[in-house]
Amino acid sequence: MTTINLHQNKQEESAAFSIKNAGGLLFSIGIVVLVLLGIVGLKYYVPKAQAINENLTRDVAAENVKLVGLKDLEQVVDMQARTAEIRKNLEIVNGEVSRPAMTKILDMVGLELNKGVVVTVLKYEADKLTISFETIGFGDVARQIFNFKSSKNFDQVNLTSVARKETAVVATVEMMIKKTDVLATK
Amino acid sequence: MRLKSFFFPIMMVIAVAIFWGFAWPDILVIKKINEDRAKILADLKTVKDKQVTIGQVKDKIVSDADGAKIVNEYLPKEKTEERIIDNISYAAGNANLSLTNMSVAPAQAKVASISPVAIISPETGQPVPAKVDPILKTSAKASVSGEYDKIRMFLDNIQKISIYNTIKSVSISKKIDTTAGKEAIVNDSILTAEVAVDFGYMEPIKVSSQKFDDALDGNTITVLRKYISQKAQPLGVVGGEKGKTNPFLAN
Repeated sequence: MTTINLHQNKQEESAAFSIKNAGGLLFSIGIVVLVLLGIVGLKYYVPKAQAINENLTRDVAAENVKLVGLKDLEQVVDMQARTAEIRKNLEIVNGEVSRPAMTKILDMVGLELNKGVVVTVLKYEADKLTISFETIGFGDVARQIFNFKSSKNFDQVNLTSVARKETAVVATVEMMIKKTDVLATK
Repeated sequence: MRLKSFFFPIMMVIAVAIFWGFAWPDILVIKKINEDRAKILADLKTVKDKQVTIGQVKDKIVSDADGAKIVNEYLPKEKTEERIIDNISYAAGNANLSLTNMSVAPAQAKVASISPVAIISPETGQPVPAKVDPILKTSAKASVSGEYDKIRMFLDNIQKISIYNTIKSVSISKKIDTTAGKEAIVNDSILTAEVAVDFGYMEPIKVSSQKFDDALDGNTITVLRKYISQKAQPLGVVGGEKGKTNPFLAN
């Protein structure tokens, strides 16, 4: 007769199953707990870190205020501003003063004048020259104007008047100075 | 299948959800805080470096006290009419010219023109304030008479006066005598010249920001020193002998 073993090792199986499940359960809960601990840590750290940054920002502001209030800074900035304005006024380029020199302008006019031409009035204002001159005849006036127009020193030559007076022909010419040719130190 | 089998994945989902919902925003905040801190520390270092640099530039100014003096005299902090008059007078005398007249007055301030179109900064989107010239001016006019080469020398002397200056206009003409009721040239070689010059000064700079260059422009000081030294210098204005018992008498 065939016997059927109906005995079931229920207690052993259930013990093994509960240990296995308890390990998994603890691991799962452990992960959640770690996450929660991490969040608590973050909640504690963030305000602290923000406070450190705020303190540092205050330090920077205080140092900046200290800097602005420094007498030395005032003196340095003042000196730098003065030298910058002087450089601009004298038009210093490559260690040379390059603003128009009046002597150079007068010399340039003298170089372009023909013999027999006599300047009666010379006016200079903002790089513009107005020259009135006398000659014996109209031909001399024409030659003089041509000289000015072909000069490398002058530009926009414009005859404003020409007329015969008692003893001479009088003409007035306006022209602009080409600044590149008028170096003060040369 | 038992419910227990789902426990681990369920707990993982809960852990991820909690992490995503509560921890991740804080991590982003910390990231931002760290970036800000790096920037603040860099700013702090810059400020400290500036303090050191200011000290170094200041030392340079102190070591070249003569250069600083030349700059401060060339572009003074206040009006120096007495120096202007003294220098023009000296320039005329040095050129052997007769100084016939002189006037010194504050230059009229330029009225700022109102532009119909406001200039807007492309960076900030705000209207850009108009640049104001920091140089304040004193206008001087001088009339001299003499020979051409002396007038030429006078003009050179004027430009090289050791005060910030700009020649506004020059007019040279033959000297005309109108006393006899008729215009007549006095002497062919004698000319009259009228010169208008603007002399500048600049009030001390008020420091409102930390912007400055970390170097001093020594080149400009060298050029300036050389430029003004090309002209003979006046002795300088001193008050003269003081003290009178009777102010209404000449001596």
